Amino acid sequence: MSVIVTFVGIILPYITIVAFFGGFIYRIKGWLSIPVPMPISVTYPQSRGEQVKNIASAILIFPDLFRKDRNLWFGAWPFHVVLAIIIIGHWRLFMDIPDRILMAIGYTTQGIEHLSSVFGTTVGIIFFIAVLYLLVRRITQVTLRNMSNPADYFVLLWLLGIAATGLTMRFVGLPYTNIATMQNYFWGIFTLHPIAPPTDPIFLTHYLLAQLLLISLPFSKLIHPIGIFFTQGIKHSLVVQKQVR
Amino acid sequence: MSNMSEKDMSEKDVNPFDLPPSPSKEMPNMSPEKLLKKLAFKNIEMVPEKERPQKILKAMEAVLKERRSVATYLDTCTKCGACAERCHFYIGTEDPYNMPAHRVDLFRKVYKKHFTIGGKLLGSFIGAEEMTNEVLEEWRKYFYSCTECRRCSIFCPFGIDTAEITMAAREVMLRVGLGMNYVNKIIANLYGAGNNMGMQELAFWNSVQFCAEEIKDEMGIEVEFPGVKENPEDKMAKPKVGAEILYVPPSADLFVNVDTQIGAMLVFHAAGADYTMSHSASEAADFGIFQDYVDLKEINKRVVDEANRLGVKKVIYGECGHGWRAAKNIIEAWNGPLNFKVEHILEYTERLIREGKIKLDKSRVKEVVTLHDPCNLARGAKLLEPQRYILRHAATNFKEVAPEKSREYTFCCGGGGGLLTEELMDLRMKGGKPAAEAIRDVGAKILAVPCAICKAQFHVLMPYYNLDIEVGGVLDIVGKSIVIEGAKVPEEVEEAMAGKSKCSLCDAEFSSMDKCCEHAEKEHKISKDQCNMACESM
Ligand code: HEM
Ligand code: SF4
Ligand code: SF4
Ligand code: SF4
Repeated sequence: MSVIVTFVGIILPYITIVAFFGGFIYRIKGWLSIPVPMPISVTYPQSRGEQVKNIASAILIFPDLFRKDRNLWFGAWPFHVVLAIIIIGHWRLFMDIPDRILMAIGYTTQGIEHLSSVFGTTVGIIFFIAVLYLLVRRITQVTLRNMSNPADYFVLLWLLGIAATGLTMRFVGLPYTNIATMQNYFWGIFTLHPIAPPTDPIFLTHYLLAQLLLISLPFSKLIHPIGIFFTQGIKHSLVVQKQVR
Repeated sequence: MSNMSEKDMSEKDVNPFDLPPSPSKEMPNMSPEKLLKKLAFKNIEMVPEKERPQKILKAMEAVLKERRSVATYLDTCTKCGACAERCHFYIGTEDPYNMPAHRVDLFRKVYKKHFTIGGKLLGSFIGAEEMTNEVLEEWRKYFYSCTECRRCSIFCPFGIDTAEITMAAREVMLRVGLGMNYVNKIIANLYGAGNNMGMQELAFWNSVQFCAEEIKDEMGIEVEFPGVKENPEDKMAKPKVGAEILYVPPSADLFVNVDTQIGAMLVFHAAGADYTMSHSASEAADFGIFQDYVDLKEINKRVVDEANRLGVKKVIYGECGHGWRAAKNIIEAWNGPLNFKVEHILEYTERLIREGKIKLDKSRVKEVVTLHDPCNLARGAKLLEPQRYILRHAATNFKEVAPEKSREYTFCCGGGGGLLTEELMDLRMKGGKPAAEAIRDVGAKILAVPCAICKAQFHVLMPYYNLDIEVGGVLDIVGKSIVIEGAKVPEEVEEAMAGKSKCSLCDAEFSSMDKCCEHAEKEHKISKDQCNMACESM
């Protein structure tokens, strides 16, 4: 194995795991250790059911953003939805669970492969377009250009890179993106008996970019899905939904 | 403020002249400048320029450890831009640093450089920057160009509240002696004289007396005086110990916005309330919220102490925006547990109307009335409905500002957040433009604003944009329409009701507004509720 393959496929994954999970715990613990001297008072809906419903919708469909900045919603919401689908799709590379569920509802192995290639590719393309939209928006809008620093563009370029390499693999149809090979590889990592990863340069690039993104996640603005539970976002959507009649 | 226990009232017959000195009198009677020096504001130190960056970092560290909001807001922002064009100062000045997230960036860049792993590793690539005196200059400019109005936070997908960062940044600057002259002077006034206006006790009671006399002159009734006098002729008075309610107005109501104070006194009178006022609690405002948590708590505590001393069951805050935001958010949390309930005068008045304890005759106010939602009430304390309920009952023609510019979407008047000073007039007028336009579009004659700072700002703002709109409080209008047995309708109100009016479309004159409206309906096909399009009082 070359040095690069060893690093990307065997050493870096452990660094990623530690940085990703350790990073999140470190950040959340850090936030929780700070007191909240002035809790900002807002009125909540009375019933718990309503609260749960509102919080769920705040996280799942960004209704607040839809109401108040629709242009951004049209970039951000599809982006996050396909991101979620992609994350679920990648789950197959670690575990059988998604496949088993699909089989339980009547899919054959072939059917799943078909679903993966058609649906997965579509989602990948939507993702690419959505990121491009966010990037174009950031470049063309004066307000955004004014407040962006290099990293703000870079994250989006990075996501484009991940999406492009991922899609390339699909279009080229590399044989070893086979589920079984990948599961073997990942379980080797998880059980601390790493085996050699696939060595295709496109795959390695995709894998490297993805890992670096995961490492930076807890330490960058990409921590926002956790942050939303600490800021006023959810509270606002509770209140405003009630008052906009 | 729901579960506060009621205090048992055993001290009913304490002699009011035998009380321990009230807190405001422990402060020496001196000029603000002198007091400023003496107080040194507990935490302020004039730091020489060379040492400032270093000291700033120390103060930043303290703030970051003290308030969770600061770090979470700084970390969570995705720079999505949803807040960018929501700030009235950005709309008015088009200065990019007045975009909320960009304003925060001034603080964030230093935070990143000195307090985060990413910033230490990647530096300016992720927008991190060293703290220097130049950065501090930018801070001074832009954190004093924010009224802490929170409009941006309503539009942010994460609810990130720039106001919190502004407060933090101002407190940090204060620690190296870079506070704001105006705010410091007001706070010195408060510690010195007991209120922002710097009114001494005699002036305070004189002013209350003046309002009572105004009522007598105008309406021919004797309202109950919210204090005790040894002799009826005395100018000086004392608060009533054991009264049920302590009314705490913004001191500006006793100085410039007397109609609001009169409105409140009439409400209390009509409801037969047992209430008192006190020079030691003569200020509902709390300028601490504009720069320093220490003062914020201290100033709020004065009201709590006085309420305890008098043994009241309830404290009612007057028409003050930020004062109510401060009180609502901290009074129980920081100065509790409380022996009394806390209510806003608007909530109180609304309840009295609902329960039929006071009666309003809305036909007395025929002009189109509109409402400005002070951001501190709307977004800072979620006080939105009572003022609407009241105005619907106190005025015939109450029209709302467009929904996307009212309630929690309201634009700040541009004078809040401690910026109500002559030096910032240009900024204030630019920042007030969106609010002025929103109000102009309603086509109202009277603007009701339940906030003393808003009132002061609108008094300048309206003429600046050539708008002929009368500015007052919500209670001012209640004062006009309130029905009290044995009282006559004030002359001014009567004139406006019956006064001559003119049709602006054909210059015909009429003996009353009603007649003119009838004419407009018949001749110009203008329906009665849009009568103001044609008829003007003369
Ligand atoms: C919980 C609710 C969430 C909300 C309200 C939210 C909102 C946003 C917003 C407003 C943006 C900015 C888009 C722009 O750049 O203009 C964004 C970007 C992004 N979000 Fe989320 N997000 C959420 C959850 C997540 C989750 C769970 C992830 C997964 C890790 C995620 C990953 C990303 C990424 C990778 C970006 C692109 C970064 C960029 O634009 O520079 N988000 N999000
Ligand atoms: S709090 Fe108000 S003044 Fe300050 S940045 Fe936000 S919108 Fe602008
Ligand atoms: S709306 Fe919120 S997340 Fe978006 S740029 Fe403004 S503060 Fe940041
Ligand atoms: S003066 Fe009024 S509008 Fe302006 S900040 Fe205060 S409450 Fe808001």
